[in-house]
Order: sequence, then structure tokens, then C-alpha cells
Amino acid sequence: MYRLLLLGPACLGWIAVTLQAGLRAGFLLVLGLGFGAALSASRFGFTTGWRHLMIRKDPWGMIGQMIMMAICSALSFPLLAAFSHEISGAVAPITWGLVVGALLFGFAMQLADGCGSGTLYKAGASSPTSWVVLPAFIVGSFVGASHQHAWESLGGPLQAVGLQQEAAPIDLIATTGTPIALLLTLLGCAAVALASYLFAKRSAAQTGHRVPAVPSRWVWGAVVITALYVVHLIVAGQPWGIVYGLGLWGAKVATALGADLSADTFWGVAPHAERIGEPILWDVTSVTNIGLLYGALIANRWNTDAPTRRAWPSPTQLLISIFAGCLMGYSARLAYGCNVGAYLGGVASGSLHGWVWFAFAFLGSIGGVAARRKARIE
Amino acid sequence: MTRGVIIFWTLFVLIIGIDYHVTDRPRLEPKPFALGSGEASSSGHCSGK
Repeated sequence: MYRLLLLGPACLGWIAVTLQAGLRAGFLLVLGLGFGAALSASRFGFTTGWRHLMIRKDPWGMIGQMIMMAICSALSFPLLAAFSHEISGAVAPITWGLVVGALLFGFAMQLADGCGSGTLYKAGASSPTSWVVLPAFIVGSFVGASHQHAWESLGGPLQAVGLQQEAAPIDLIATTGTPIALLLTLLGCAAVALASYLFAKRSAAQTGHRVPAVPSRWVWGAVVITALYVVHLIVAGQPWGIVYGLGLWGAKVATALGADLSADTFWGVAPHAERIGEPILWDVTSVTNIGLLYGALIANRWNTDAPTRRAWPSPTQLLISIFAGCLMGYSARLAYGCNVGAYLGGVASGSLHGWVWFAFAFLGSIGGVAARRKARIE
Repeated sequence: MTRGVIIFWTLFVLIIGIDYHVTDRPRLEPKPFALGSGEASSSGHCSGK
């Protein structure tokens, strides 16, 4: 009964958002509820998937992500190519900010035990650690956006070696056409999935164990999130994102506290400056974020076996979480998003920056996993 | 922990309500679906828009 009652506020929220912000915002709230419920119920995590590969030699989290990337790309590329005047992808340049940001994000997300989507769904599922990480993430994202222009002025690695005159996006769909772009992306996904499996198999052979069995939750989680991702693309006209909304919340709080952002190189210029003055329910990423938080709560309460940590962290872990949250928010802005906006969104938009994000965030995660051990975070 | 959940969500809904009250203004509502709307997406995204 108690669990059924949780659906009431979701329905009321949908009606309120639809009446106040329109049908599109209402649809986006429902999609956010779906993302939150799917992430929480399947415990589909980018952070844990990578960590399990590194520590437990369990490849299925990474393989699940690659299945998701491959199906998202196969469904998104034709839409992006055919309806480019209505639907735009997550395409961003390869800058030094992207490289440094992804590296730091990968490190911090292991310390915080959750990326952008992970922090949101765990906060929604009532994890006290994520309640602490979320405000810190918001602060970091707000400040990171302010600094984004300065980082972009440093240029990028391809510019440094003379391959580009300026750090510009590399859009595979526009450069090579949809079939080749899709083929390259599917090959990339298959290569990562195969490398993960072979790594796990070799490690298992060395220790006399077997590669762990495929947990079905990774497979259905990937499929459901993929379906929601494509519907989001059709409804919003842009890929699913998280970090922009969090930075906007920070900018709104800063403005409410009296900060003058008119001279800010990001928040002081159009269209971001206008968005600060608009209701939060008009912002695509904010509405899906709100839905995601509540969807995760419903799924968590429905699934009594969900292993969400309900105890408050120790003071040391609290400080580490605040630090990691700030770092994640800041670095996500330099890197044009988190695992969702840059990694999933970038790869499934045919933008090379998505793959660069993945490579450097994975490197950062190796350091983050080592730091977790040192800080004795379970 | 239930108390924590109630405090978290009360604060969250309160902030959204205050935000809406402070910022409400006329809006040209977008069509329900971007696909088929004939309009370019103008929302913010992490990739830099």
C-alpha cells in the first residue's frame, strides 16, 4: 500500500508540470521517472561497471554499456542525419578541457561512488552519501561552466600536433556519412566489449576461476535505458543530459543569493542568462533530472532487496564525498558532460569527443579506484 | 531514514515552487515532440549549447 502511494506524487507532479510548463515538459518528466526507475531497479551504473572490471574482473558492466551505446547509435544516427533541423546531437570539440575534465571526472566518480546519473539516482533512492555529493556537484558544475570559456581558449591536442587549425568538433555522421559513422561506432563498441571480456577471461584463467555469469539486470537495464534515450531524443530534440541542469540550479541559487552573473563568460551570455530567469520546469535537463530523482525513489522502495546504503557516512568519508562531488561537477563542465551527456550522448551522436571522454575518464577511474582503496572506502 | 527522505523531498519541492513563483512569465509553449515540430531544439545541453 505504502509503495502504491508513491505513485500518487508522480501523477500529481506530471499533471502540475504539464499544466505549468506544457506537454513536452510533462513527457520529459515521465521519461525522467523512467530513467530513474530503470537505473535504480537494474542498478545500472557506469561507475560500478568500470570498477567491477578493474577489481573483480567482471566484464558485464562494461559490455552492458557497450550494448547500450551500440543500440543507441544504431537508432539515433539515422534520426540525427535525417532530421538535423529538428534534432541535434551532443557534438563537442576535442579540447584540453575535455582531456583534463574527463580524467578528473573518472577519478572523482570512483571516490563519490557515482557519476552524474549515479549520484542523482542514488540521491533519489535515499543514499545519504549522494545527498551530500549532489549539492557539491551542483556547486562544481556552476563554477565549471563559468571557467569553460577559459579552458576552451587553451585549444586542444589535435591543434597542438597540427591536425586541426582550431579545436573543432569531429562529427562522424557529417564527415563520413551515416553508414560509415555507424560502422565505425559499432566496431568501437565491439572492440571495447571484446577487450573487456578477454581481459576478464585471462584474469580468471590466471586465478583458476571462471568469468562471472551475465547478470540479467545489466542486459534489461541497457535495453530499457536505450529505449528511453531514443524517445528522449525524439521528444526533446537533443540527447539525454544531466550536468547542464545541475549547473543551472547552481546559477539560480547564486543569483537568488545576490550574485551578479551579468559579466560571467558563460552564465552572463545568451541563451544561458535567459534560462536563469526562466522557471526551472522549462529546462529540459532539469525536468528529466527531477523525474530521475523521484523515479529512483519509487523503484528503490518497490525493490526491497535494493542495496542502497542508508547509513550516514563517517566524517572523513563525508569530506571526501564533498570534495569528489565538487570535482565531478567542475570537471564535467570542462569535459562537455558526464557519462550521460558526453560519453553516451557523444558516442551515440557520432561525435569523436565521446570516445576521447571515455578513454580519459577510464584512465582517471584507475586512479580513483586506487584512491578509494587508500581512503578505505568500501 | 524516512524522516531524511521527507525532509529531502519537502525541501526539493519547496525550492521548485519558489523558483516557479519568482520566475513565472508568459511562454510560447513548444510542440509536444521536437521531431516533426519544424523547430530547432533550443534547450541547454552539457555539450555546450
